[in-house]
This record gives sequence, structure tokens and C-alpha cells, in this order.
Amino acid sequence: MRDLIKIGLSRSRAVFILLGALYLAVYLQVSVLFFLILTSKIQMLVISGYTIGTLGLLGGITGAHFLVAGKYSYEMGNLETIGFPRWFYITTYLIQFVLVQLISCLVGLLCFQILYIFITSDNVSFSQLAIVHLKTILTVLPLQVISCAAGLWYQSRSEPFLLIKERI
Amino acid sequence: MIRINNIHLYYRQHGIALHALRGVSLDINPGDYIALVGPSGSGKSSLIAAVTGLIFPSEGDIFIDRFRINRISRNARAKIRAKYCGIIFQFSEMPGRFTIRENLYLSWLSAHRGKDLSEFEERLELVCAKLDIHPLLEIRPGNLSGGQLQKTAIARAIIKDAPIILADEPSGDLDPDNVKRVRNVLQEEIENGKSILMVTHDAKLASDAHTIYELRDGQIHNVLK
Repeated sequence: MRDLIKIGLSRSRAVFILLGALYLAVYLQVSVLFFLILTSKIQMLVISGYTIGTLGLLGGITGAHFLVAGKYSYEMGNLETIGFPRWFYITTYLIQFVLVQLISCLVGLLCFQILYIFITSDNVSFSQLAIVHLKTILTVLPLQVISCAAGLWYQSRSEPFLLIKERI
Repeated sequence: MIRINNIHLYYRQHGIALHALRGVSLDINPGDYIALVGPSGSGKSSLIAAVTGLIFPSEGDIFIDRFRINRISRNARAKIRAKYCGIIFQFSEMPGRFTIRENLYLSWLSAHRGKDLSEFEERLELVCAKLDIHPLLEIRPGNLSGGQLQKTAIARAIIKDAPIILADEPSGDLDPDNVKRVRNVLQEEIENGKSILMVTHDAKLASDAHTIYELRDGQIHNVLK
């Protein structure tokens, strides 16, 4: 009987690992795109780059996070046994996750935006652009990673059913 | 209330099929108190698990009320468990991050969505008084002894006020005083019109049942009472 209630996310993990891989691929593309943006200064490309980067980041972090969240699979099975459908658990969990992740991504994107304004305000040469790009990698990327990691760290300590707990 | 219609259950391990249930049929009506006894491995727990919809019979059907639970979706089965069944497991497991009060609330909530919290508090008082678990309410399951955990698992099953109680070894980790308490609780539930299907090795607990079935080799071997 003990094994019977261990129903969970095990099959979903593979999907989220693939999402993580997808994120890496998208991020590499965005890096190339960003370099092109710096040289061409076409604003639409910048906006598209940000959008793709954000989506990729959300997907990748979601993938990584669901690997962490595998530990909740036992709990989900247990609650399903007493009568909560799985969608109820997953929905509560995802709403909470997406809200926190959006906030953490916003910090990273804000840094990105500030740097972009700085770059486009000056008429710089190609070599200067390359230096700026290097600076971007060294400063903005770690900031983005740190902000998303902070979101991940918070998530690993927060609890699904937050909304329910508040009612008690 | 529950109709088990000629069910067979096969477990397959390493290519070997184990015939756990062999054509078991059983009707459980409101107010029925049925005990399943028999040696380990005779299929008692498998039968309870099949009724809860956590495993499927390979052949045959199980109805709870008008729902054929082996032919409906996973979510629908969860909803039926929420509405109709209070389940006591052999190994009492509860989500460890919630206190006992929160675990009991989750169980109650599964059957009483949208109802006022005061109704839960009233029911909680009643159940706590019956099982003497007041001091355990703010403790997390990981800090409880086996016996305390078993009592809270019984509380989790009865707090829902569900019409069916499915119990797999409810007195497994309990001392004689608490076994007596549990016997009284189950007796009260029967008087309130509930149905109980219970697996037990405890002769005294089994003697309270209206009907005792002995299972051997996955079949109802004998009706002892």
C-alpha cells in the first residue's frame, strides 16, 4: 500500500529536462542575436531578443525547478489518495511558481534594459561594441542568473498549497 | 453503496503473474460493518486498494454508489474518494510539511469545498474528543509515534463524515486502550449509518463487525460470522 500512494510527477520529469535543454538552445541563439542587435541597432530585433530570452529563461528555470519539485511527488500522491485531483495541486503550485519567477526575471530584464539604453545612446565603434558585449556577458548575465537563482532558491523553500495554508 | 462484482487482480513482477484476487464478489450496504480477515498475502489489502480506485482489477467491476470506479478518469476517482470514502491505510502517511490540524483540514476540505471554516472547527472538536488527539494538533506527522500517527490517520478518515470507511489494519500500532477507543469510534460511525470495510488481524476488532469474511489465496474462503 505504501508504494501505491507514491503516484507523482516521475513521468513529467523527462519533459521538463527537455524544456531545460530547449532553454539552453534558445539562450545561445539569443546571445548571437544580441550581438547582431548591437551592430545593427534595429529596435524590433532587440524587443524580439528580449521576448525570446525571457520565454527561454522561464522555460529553463521551470525545467530546473520541476526537477527540484520532484520531491513533492509523494505529497501529491498522498493528497490525491484523500481526494484532491492532481490538477488542483499542480495548478496551485504553478500559479505560485510563475508569480515568483516573473518577479525574479523582471529584475534581470530590468538590468538588460538599462544596459541597452546605455549602449544605444552613444555612437560607438565595432570594437567598442565588442567590449560592451563582453561587459554584458560579465555583468548582466550573472545578474540575470543570480536573480533567477534567487527565485529558484525561494521556490525550493516555499510550499505548494500556500493559499490553503493561509485559510487555516 | 459498494458493489464488488467478480473481480480478479493480477500483479506482474519479473514476468511472473501473481493472481492476488480470484473472483471476489461483495455487496456493502449503508450500515454494514464488514471485516476481512485471513493470512498475510491473502489479498485483503489488495481488495481495499481496488475499492479505493488506487489499483484496477484485471477483470470484474467495482461500483461505489452508481459510479463504476474502474472505468472512470483519475480525477473522477479522486473526487469519488473525496465524497464517499474515508480511508485508513496500513502505513499511515501524511504530508510532513503540514501540522496534524492542517492535514485534518485538507481531508475535510476535500469533501466540503466552499463550506465555512467554523463547520470544520466543530467537526474537529468532536473528532479530537473521540480520539483524544487534542495535544497533537499543532505537531507535524514526522514528530509523532506510530500509535499517535495511527490515531490521527483514523481522525483524518472520519473527519470527512464520508458514508464509507475503508480501513486497512486500523489498530496496527495501537495500545489496548486506544484499540478500545477506536472500536467505540467505529461503532458510533456504524450507528450513524456509515458503512465500514475493514481489514484486520485483531480478533476483538473483527468481532465488532456484522459480517466477517475470511480470505485465502485471493478468494472468500469462509464467512465466519
